[in-house]
Amino acid sequence: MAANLPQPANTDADRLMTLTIDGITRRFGATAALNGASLSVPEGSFLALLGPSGSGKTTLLRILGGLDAADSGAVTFLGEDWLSLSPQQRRAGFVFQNYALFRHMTVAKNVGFGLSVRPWRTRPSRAEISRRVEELLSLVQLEGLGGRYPSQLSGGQRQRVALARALAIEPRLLLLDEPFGALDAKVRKDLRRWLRDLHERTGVTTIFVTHDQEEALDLADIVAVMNKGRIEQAASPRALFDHPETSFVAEFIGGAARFDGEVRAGRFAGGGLSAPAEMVDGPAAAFVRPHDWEIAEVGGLSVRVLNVLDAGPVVRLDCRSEQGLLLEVVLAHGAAEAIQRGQTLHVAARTARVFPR
Amino acid sequence: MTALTLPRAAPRRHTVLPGFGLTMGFTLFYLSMVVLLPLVALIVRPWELGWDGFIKAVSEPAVYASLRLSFLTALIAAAVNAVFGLLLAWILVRYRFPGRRLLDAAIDLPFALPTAVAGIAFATLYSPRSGWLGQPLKETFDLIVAFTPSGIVIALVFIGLPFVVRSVQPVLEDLDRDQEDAAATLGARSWQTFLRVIMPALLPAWFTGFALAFARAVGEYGSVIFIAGNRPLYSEIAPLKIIQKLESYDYAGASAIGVTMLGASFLILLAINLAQRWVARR
Repeated sequence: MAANLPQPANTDADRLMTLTIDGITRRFGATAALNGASLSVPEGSFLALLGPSGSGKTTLLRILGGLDAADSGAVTFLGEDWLSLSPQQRRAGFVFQNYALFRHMTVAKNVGFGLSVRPWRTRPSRAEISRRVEELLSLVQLEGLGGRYPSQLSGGQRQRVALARALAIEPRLLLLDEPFGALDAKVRKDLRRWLRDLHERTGVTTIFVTHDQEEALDLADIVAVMNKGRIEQAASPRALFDHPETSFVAEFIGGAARFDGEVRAGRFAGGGLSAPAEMVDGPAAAFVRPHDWEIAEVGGLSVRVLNVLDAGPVVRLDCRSEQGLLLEVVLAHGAAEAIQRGQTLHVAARTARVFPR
Repeated sequence: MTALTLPRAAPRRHTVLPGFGLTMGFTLFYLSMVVLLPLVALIVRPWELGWDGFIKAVSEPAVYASLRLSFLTALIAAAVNAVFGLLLAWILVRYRFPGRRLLDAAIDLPFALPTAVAGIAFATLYSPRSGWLGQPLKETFDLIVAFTPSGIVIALVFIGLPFVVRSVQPVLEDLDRDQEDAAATLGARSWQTFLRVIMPALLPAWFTGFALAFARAVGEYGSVIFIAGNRPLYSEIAPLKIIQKLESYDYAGASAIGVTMLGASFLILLAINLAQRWVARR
């Protein structure tokens, strides 16, 4: 599962600590939110849990934060039996999807909360807390807003307060639940870059949940694709894109079209598509990404163009095959001139990924 | 003296109710007829006694004792309700158990039950001679509840409970559970989460519940007189004193007690209100 992981360049492999998630299950009544999720990533990773809604990614994040308990399975992190620790002992900073800021406290009190609830032996002095709060506020670029209440801030500012509050406890693990979900596109982009920088500076192992694959591929070192309570594949964005290991990943990443058919004598055929396949004979599914189509010189798949979206460096075509399958075809400008809506086109797959069904 | 100016509605702003002038006028008229006019009548009445007469009527030992008893028992009952009402609301909101809905509905019974019925039930239950609770209490602890001030407190606790539960419950239901989770991940123990995250959010509603329970208890008559025993200087409540005055055609004396209760209640409610605003501002 953990194939194709990037090796951190400046870390001595011998003292590398890993976060190991082993066979976590969690049922809610009759439905299994997690069904044997397993994963292993080096400490200091920036990991994305990516999957459709209901795939169990938030449940896994909550279990790692100590907010939910696993029915079975184990987690080892920093050499400790992570699941046996209370949320207080874990020191895992958690940023909630709705930020969950304390409404009756000022921004400064919110950020300082984690320090002020420490047992008095280890609790910093008031002056020390307010110094640390100032430091954190300037880290998240909210200097001078310490006296405001959460209701007086914008969404992006609240998000950063939530981050500062989680960072105040010097977390050993930073967990973020859909951190950019509620923000507009511009703020989201800025915050993404900022979070990436922050991770590089602090080196804290960071895990975030998202259903937006562009976000996951853009931000994370390692993307774990989740489906039906399992981790289908965890790999670097590049490896995930180029070498999907399961049919779910092949279909989910990159918006591929799916063709159901059969493999016979090293060739897949089904849904009008024919492609070479290196696997034993039997029922199979083939996946073709929008960018992997080209105009066929001879033969190929006959599709009807439903819509032409000509914007930017490429032309996007919404098409329907004769078999009724909807698929997206992306062509370079030069190759797609004079294609009209309603026209019939013959396309061939440059690359098709075939998996047994 | 500066002239009192009413805030004007912003022009051309769409509102559901038309006509700020009309609605404000109606509100004032309605309030005058239903609340202010009877109160004014009450306040005006005792002045036929004159200031000295008023003081004399109120400082009569039996009247003074009854006023003290009424306010003291009401405050104790409201405080008891504040603690246990909060607990009850918490259990109703946070736990799922068989019979929860039934219990939830039972909270409102003191609203619906005729207070005299409740009073008679309490008097029977706590009677030291034959009551299911009163007899064992008397025999094992030598405690007499019925026909003493403790009996009054018990009746007032009964009628005031729903006010605290129903004030706190909706706020507790709307509380963002993620905030509690956030506190836990930040290292807060449960008691710290309760005191620093949950209570500040509940406090205004809790104060409201306390104030309502207190206000109701001060004026309560029906459920109390059956269990109080009504011994002058010992277990006679102020509303009973008012009835006695009325029965002897001493209308001015009765309204003197009424005005005193009104003033004291007003001051206490004002104090609670100020405390509530102070809490909300923080």
